[in-house]
Amino acid sequence: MTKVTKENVRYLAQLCRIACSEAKVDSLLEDFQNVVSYVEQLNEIDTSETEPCSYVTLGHTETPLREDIVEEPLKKEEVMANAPSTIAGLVRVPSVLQSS
Amino acid sequence: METLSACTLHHRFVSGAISAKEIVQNLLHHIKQYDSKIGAYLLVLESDLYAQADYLDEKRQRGGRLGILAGVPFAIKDNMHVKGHITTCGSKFLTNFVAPFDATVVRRIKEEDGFVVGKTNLDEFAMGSSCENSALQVTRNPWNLDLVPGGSSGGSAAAVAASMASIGLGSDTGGSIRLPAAFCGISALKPTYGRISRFGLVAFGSSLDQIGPMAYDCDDIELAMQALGVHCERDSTSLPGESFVPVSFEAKFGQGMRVGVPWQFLEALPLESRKVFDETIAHLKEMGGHIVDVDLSILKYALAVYYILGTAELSTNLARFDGIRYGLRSERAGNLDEVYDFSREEGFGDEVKRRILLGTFVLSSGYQDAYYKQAQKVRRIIIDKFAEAFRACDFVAMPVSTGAAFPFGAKKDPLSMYLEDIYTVGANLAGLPALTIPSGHLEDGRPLGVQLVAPQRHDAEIISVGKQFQQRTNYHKRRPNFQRGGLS
Repeated sequence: MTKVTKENVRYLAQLCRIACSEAKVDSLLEDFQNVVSYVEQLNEIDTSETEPCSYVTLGHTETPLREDIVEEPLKKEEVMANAPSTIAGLVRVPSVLQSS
Repeated sequence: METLSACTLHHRFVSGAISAKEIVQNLLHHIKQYDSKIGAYLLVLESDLYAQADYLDEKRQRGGRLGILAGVPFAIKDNMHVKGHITTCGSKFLTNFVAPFDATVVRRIKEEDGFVVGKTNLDEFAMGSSCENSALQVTRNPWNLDLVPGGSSGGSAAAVAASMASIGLGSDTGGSIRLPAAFCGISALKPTYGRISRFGLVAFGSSLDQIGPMAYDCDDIELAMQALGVHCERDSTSLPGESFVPVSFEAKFGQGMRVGVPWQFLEALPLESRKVFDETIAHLKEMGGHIVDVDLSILKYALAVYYILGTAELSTNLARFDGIRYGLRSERAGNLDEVYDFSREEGFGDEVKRRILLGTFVLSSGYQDAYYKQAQKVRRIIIDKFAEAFRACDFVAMPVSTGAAFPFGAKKDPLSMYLEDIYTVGANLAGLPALTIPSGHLEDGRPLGVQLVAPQRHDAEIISVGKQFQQRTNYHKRRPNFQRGGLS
């Protein structure tokens, strides 16, 4: 059984970009361990002869593409209306480079 | 208020027995009276409804062509886009998001003259089995307000059960249409993967997600499928070729049908649920069903496969919620990294975080082969076992869940909540259509559901069986008593 540590949880939180207080790490850890232990039951199954499956539609082997026809796109203002912060029609974000 | 059968309402409107305006007035009156207690809707599109009613009444008067959904009110789960209105996904992350376009399903409803009544509550990003994970609102089961409506499409299920819509749209990644339908005593279809376009549905598990209708009976399910089961070129997984076409029970199964039952897999079914299921089997026999024992014992692993593949896919899909282009941006963020880290910390609820973390874990370096790849392989075995079962039967019958709706707060640890989906996830993993119909009630009145699971693209066949079943039985006609005792 894989033992999940606080270190693992902290690292995963960092990978998926979710800030996590120490209290949160603690509360996530127990549930996380239970679920990981549960899903490990799959190791009981012999899959040495089985190919992994990533696509379920029968007889549908390629991704169909539609005709490349120019259409009217969404209006920029409508799309930008959902941005938390904008400037001159562009998305505004905090500075990426800090001056030293 | 009487039940809002979509087919009946449509015919009454087309024949002139009721105007579109009356439909809307009655519906809004009913919603105002009861939804403060049930909490199915996050948003009701009142002014849109009146405008649509005027348009429809005028169109009928001048003899214009009326769509097949004319007069039929739809409740839309709030993870599908309705242009100009919120799509919250039940999350704090998206409380202000306004959809710039219609989902294909919404476009189809509008093209066929249906009413878009409003947006319904759900577990955050459709992750949950009780609707308790919504960050925005509590939804209660119309059969008993102390019980959950089931999830994740709990708002749409409760809206239909309480006659606040004729048809509810839900999305089903691991059981999210079927479980709430069973808990709320209504019929519902999780169609074949790709049968209904997912364009405009906020993605959860892209190889599992499927939109489907929830309704009073299987006639209404069939009507909805005729409007929605069409190819869509904006969804590359949309089934190519022919649209959904109804079939008649007589033509398909008049000479008999082979009903598979995975008895071994159902061993753990509690006695009171087993009793109801046995009654269902007896009805299916009377309908000409020949019962076949099929081996689907592999399904005891389905939930583990689902939690690996589903979380892997959702952790990828939810990476787009970064606080930059839309949704919540943390006010604490001083630099770009903090925009990501704090916005996601503040915007996502605990269950969503748990699942993103798990998905990130099963895809991370060193663990990918042991978890993700192994799950993909077991998925193939599950698909093969279903195919084997379908050589011996036309469809498989099994319960939707081990029990009926439960009280709020009853499933505290995540794993016990996940186990609610033990019977439903198999159909998602194999991309199969699964129809849920009310199959009986426990002594305390709580409804239970049975599901019929068929080979891919056999959606119409199981609907025909459902219709026949409902001609012979009255389970679906029993309605919750929420106007009186239930809501006092």
